[in-house]
Amino acid sequence: MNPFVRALALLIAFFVAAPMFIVIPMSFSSAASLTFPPPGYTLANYINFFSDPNWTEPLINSVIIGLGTVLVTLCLAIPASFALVRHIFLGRELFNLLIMLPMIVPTIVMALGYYMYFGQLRLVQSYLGVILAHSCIAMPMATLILTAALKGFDRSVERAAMNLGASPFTTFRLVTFPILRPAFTVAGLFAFIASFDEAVIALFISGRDRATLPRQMFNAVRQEADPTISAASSFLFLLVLAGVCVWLAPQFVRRRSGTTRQPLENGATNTAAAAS
Amino acid sequence: MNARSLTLRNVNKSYDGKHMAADNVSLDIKAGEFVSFLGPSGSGKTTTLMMIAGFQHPTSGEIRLGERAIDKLPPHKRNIGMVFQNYALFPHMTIADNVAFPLRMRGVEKAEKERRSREALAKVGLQGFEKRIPSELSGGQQQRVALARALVFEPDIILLDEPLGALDKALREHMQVELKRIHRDLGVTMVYVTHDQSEAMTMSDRIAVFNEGRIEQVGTPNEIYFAPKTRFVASFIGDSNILAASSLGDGRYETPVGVVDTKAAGSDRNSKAELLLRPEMIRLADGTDPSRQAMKIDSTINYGDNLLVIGKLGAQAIRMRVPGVDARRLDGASECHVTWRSEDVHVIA
Repeated sequence: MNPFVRALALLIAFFVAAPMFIVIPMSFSSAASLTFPPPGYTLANYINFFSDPNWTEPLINSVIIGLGTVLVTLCLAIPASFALVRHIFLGRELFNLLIMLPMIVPTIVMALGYYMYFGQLRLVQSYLGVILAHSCIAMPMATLILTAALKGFDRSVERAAMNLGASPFTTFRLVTFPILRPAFTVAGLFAFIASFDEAVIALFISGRDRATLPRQMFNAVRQEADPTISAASSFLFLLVLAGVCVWLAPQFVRRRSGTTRQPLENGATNTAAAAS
Repeated sequence: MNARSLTLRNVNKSYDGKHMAADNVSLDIKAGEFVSFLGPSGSGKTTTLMMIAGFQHPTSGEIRLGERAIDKLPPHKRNIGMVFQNYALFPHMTIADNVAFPLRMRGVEKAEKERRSREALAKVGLQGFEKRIPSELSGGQQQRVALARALVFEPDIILLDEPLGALDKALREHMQVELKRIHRDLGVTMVYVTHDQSEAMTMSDRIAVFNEGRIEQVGTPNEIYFAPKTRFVASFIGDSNILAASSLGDGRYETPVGVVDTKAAGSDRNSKAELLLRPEMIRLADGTDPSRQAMKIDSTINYGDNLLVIGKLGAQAIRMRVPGVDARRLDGASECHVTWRSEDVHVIA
């Protein structure tokens, strides 16, 4: 590779990652306010993050809302994806567009809408309100992941199962679901991440009682420049990173094992049925 | 294994109400018979197989398996084994679990289930593969697992949907022999869909030739090859010369290559017919043969064991296959003398 191109690539990578190079060292800083570079190193910020109710409560709220979002999103996105991929019906294109809409509409516009609409429904400052709003945000990505997996799903394995004596429900339970489970997992993970690091809607409708972690971080930096925020940021970052790794790891392992175990005779063709 | 007969009675299928995917298909398959559905893609052979399996529903008509009408049953209640073109093994289960799946669906008790799965795998020559998963097996091995899975529960009939289509040539021939052996050993009724005429010829007790949703002819491989009933069958199976002819009575026909004698029963004078003359039935004649005709050679293709000669008898384009040992006589020739036996000429009805 051209040395100039290589240098440019490194520079871009550094630029993208730079905030992390500042935030992570700062999370171990001994200074009482947000300063860089840190005068000394300590775990105080982390201890505070996991013990101060001002931080633990938003963290618990975020986890509850994140899990709720996963549940609601999967309950909606799975049937929607089956309908979109396997059936032709009037208004299918429109239905698809509606599901994808939250990806296009600015989040702040949606947040404002939820603020006014949920206010009338008394859903502001409730778990349910935030979960419903976050599920809308998570739907497009989850649907994209699931429809992609379903399009690549070889339906002849379902036919084979039925032919061998499985009822449609048993076929789903023993064949369709296990084969698509990686896609379900990834869609759920993305829904969780979408909710867990969402700030705009949380600012508008979560209120003080149901404040999520990003909302609390925003408040903290605005009001008092509490250095615990750097520990919170690092934690949020590591959690999302871990989530992505969980998603990538099985694919990595599968690819590696695929190269070490060769079929025994020639003319090998694998069933292309494996999802994802 | 319990073999059953299969009866299709006036089965019709249309997806759009206009075009017939299966057009009045009637067929009787005897218990233990190996029948191939042969035809080009879109001829209705796969649609018909899907209706037998229950994945498509006939618009009208009746399908009986033995004494049982099955056309109203869902697929999982038909007790039919099926081998799919792309194997359709369950990628998340071991080979043993794949083969045991139909037994599990039938609530077979554990020890019995394991014994029968092992036996089925042994029948297809795959002992010791129980713990593997499908993606670790080659195409041919996967196809044998699919076969073991389709026969382990002793179905009333086994359907095979172009099962060897994805295999390379050597493996395909090997699997043809395997399949025939399993058919012979088990005596089970098999319906085999293929677009490969040589596969149908070598394996079948009878062949049903499909075209445009209809069955053109049902017969033994020899009947289909030597005595096709329609021009489509004559030209789809094997290489052919088809001569337009008009009857002179008593089995004699006026054709573009002159008057041709046949052994066909007498037909009305001046009625139109078509004569089939397979390329290998035309032979080189020596210069004294009274029935010889001069053939102009346009080009030749040497296959080693035989030589395909493409040329003309008068104005009629003719293809002739000469056995390799005789072909050397034609080296560099632009003309040769040919003849054929009148009993080889077949009159297409």
